Amino acid sequence: MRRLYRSLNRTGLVALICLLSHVGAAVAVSASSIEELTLAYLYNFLKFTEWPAVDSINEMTICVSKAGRLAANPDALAGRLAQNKKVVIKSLDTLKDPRTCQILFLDQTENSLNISQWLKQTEKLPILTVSDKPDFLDMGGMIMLIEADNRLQFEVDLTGVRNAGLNLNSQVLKIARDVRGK
Amino acid sequence: MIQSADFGGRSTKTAFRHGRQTVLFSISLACLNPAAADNADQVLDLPLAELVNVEITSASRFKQKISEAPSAVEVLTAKDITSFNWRTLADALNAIRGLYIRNDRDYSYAGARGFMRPGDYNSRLLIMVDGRRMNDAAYDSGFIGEEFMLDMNLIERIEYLPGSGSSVYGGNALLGVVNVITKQGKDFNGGKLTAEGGSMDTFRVRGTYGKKFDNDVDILLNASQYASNGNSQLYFPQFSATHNGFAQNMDHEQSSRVFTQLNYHNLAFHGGFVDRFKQDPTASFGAIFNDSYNYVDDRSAYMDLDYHTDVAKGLALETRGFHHWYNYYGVTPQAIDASRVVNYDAANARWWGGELKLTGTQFKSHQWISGVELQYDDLQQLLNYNIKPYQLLNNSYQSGTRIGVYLQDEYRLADNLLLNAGARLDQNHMINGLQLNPRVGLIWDPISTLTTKLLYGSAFRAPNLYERSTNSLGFAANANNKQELITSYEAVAEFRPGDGIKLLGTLFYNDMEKVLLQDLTPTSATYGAFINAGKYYAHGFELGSEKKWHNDRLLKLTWTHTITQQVAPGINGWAQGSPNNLVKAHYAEPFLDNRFQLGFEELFIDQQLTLANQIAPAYHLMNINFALTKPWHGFQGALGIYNVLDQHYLALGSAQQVQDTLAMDGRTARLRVEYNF
Repeated sequence: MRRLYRSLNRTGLVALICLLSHVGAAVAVSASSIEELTLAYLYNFLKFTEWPAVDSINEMTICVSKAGRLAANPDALAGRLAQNKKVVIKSLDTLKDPRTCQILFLDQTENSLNISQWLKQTEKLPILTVSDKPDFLDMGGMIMLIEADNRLQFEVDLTGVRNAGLNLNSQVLKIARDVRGK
Repeated sequence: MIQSADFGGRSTKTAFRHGRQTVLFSISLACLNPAAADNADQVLDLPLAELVNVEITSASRFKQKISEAPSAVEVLTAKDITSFNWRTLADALNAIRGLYIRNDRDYSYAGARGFMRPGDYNSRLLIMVDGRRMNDAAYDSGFIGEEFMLDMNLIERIEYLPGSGSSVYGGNALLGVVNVITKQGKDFNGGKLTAEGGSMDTFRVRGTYGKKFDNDVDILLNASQYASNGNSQLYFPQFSATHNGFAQNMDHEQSSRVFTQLNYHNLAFHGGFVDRFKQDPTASFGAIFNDSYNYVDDRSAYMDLDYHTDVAKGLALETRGFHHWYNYYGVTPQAIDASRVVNYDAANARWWGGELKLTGTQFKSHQWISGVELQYDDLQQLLNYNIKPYQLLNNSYQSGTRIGVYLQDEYRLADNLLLNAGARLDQNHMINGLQLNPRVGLIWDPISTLTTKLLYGSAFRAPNLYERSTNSLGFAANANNKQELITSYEAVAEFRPGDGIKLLGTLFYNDMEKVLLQDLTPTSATYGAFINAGKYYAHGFELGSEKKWHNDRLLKLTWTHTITQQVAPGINGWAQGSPNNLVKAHYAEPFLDNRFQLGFEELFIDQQLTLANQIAPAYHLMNINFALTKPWHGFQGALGIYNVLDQHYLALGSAQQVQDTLAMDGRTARLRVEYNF
């Protein structure tokens, strides 16, 4: 595929196709890898969640489990801001203290025992828990990312969100595929 | 059909992009930003409302939400195993809504939703490990006791799909499918030494090592040895003429297991071996009572290589190759013409094959699975002879092929409405003609917290060699018996209001036909042969409620009510081996910052009709487990007390036992200590 693209590029075809297809409007992203999408969701959740005492926080921290897929690229959000604060990705060893995290993302590759341990540790703490494990909400998590129709969507259980003293923007709830515990 | 997040849920980072569309797409990106536009950055800038519309480039593994599965799925996790300290898969299945376990001191058997034939060998329940069928190729038995392939510590989840499952899984999935998903090395991340001890001189030692290395190789090794003396004496009034009816030191059991799993990116290798020996104190198959030279030994081994890959956008391929061995032998001392003759009964089976499975998500609103499964029964042999004087009574062997092709599509008609439809076509060398088994499920969420399902499906089971050929007692062969059939209808409602609460209700109707029964009427022309003579109609309902608290407290109650009618020669009415009610309660409570966990299990199994049409009384079992779950200086432990109230309940005897009912064990305890390093 890349080779094909290169050869097209060499022959100047790209420029031609560009001229033909590029009508000056920004091209919408129509496809993306699941890791990129997951990260984009987490970034958006950072923007649209209210944490208590947010003023005392210097950085917005997304914690990911060390063994998970997002840990491989810790600089993916370098230079970005959420709520006017620098965004950092931190990878955590299993069951390390998550107190400094605003979002804790648990990869579906984590086993369920670990996930429930994480959830216990974050209980009542102002940390938004997100995972793409299919039964995450049943386990007591807050936001579950789920593949549906070849797209990544999400579902919310508000019970945990409320208990943690967090507030999700109504826009988020509107877009969610499913909201429990209203 | 559920695909567990852990099994095959490892997403790939590289998407093979094919086709002109992708070329054009990357070209248009290149136009925006000649220095190879950073797609990731663009995605980050998208508003949330648009994120939900971005397509995923890497093919999905089609992980289904459990609530959307076309079945009233029940899942037990490693945590449940820790909480309730189930010793075998049979113990765990006994905790599941609708299932009940019977043990005849030889093997353990599972009944489902009011159906169990005492004397059968678990051939109507499909047992799988990580999606690989484990039922053997001689008797089609799905083992669940100490003869099951896995130690309980290796299990990450147990998924039970009640109802007929032939539309995807082929034969034997009449009463349901049990898929056991194993842990991986990274779940252990080090070594573990385990020692167990308990009542009746029961011991187990086990070593486990698991690790995921930096080069992404994940390795898991497990080996264990189990021995139990069992009851030093068992009283059977039916044999009071011999040794006053006491079987002395006749209840010994042993098992040895080795299991290994290697995972590297999308490649998984499983290999396992289990050897289990059990003495038979019940003098089944006409054995001389209290003669210690009476036992069965079952050995199973398998290798399974599994590879996942994305072949195109929205299309994933799973390929698999497997090889299994099964070997059984049983020794039975019999009194023939006043002299002691030892009979040797054996089965050998060897089978191998492969599977291809495609999962597609490229069509809007559709997720489809299609596959082909080929199994070559290289050897199926039954052997029976008297050792001294040597007399060959049966040596049947054969080989043949089983092929299955299936297609299932999940069509999202609307946001809250799914149609799940599929069928599987099977060819099996044991039967003439092809088997076509459809399944249709309509899954509708009237409100976001409520899921309702209407399900229809059918399943078949081909006769096995044991039911086809002359069997161990020199009974008649029946070359013309046919497959059994089941049709099942079910309505399910699952309510999940949040806060860890789940309420469930099901209504079901199962219609089983041509059930293979052994003709045990001595005057009959088909005496001893298996004939398609049985009919069963089961209808009933299930209610379940569950609440999980954040601190790991769990409360779960289920009630299954079934009325099963059996129509067979000479019988028309309440089916044998069919309790009308099963009630199960589970309660787990963590203590001291989750360092300790207390688990209560209460199982009520209603009265059953025995093979002699007597009533075996209802009974209930209470089990309590106290576990140290958080390692303390590397040590973990658990103390399980089983049948706390010391109920001397009766289990139904099997067809080849003189005993109509068998007294089961009273209170037993088992202590486990584990050291992590």
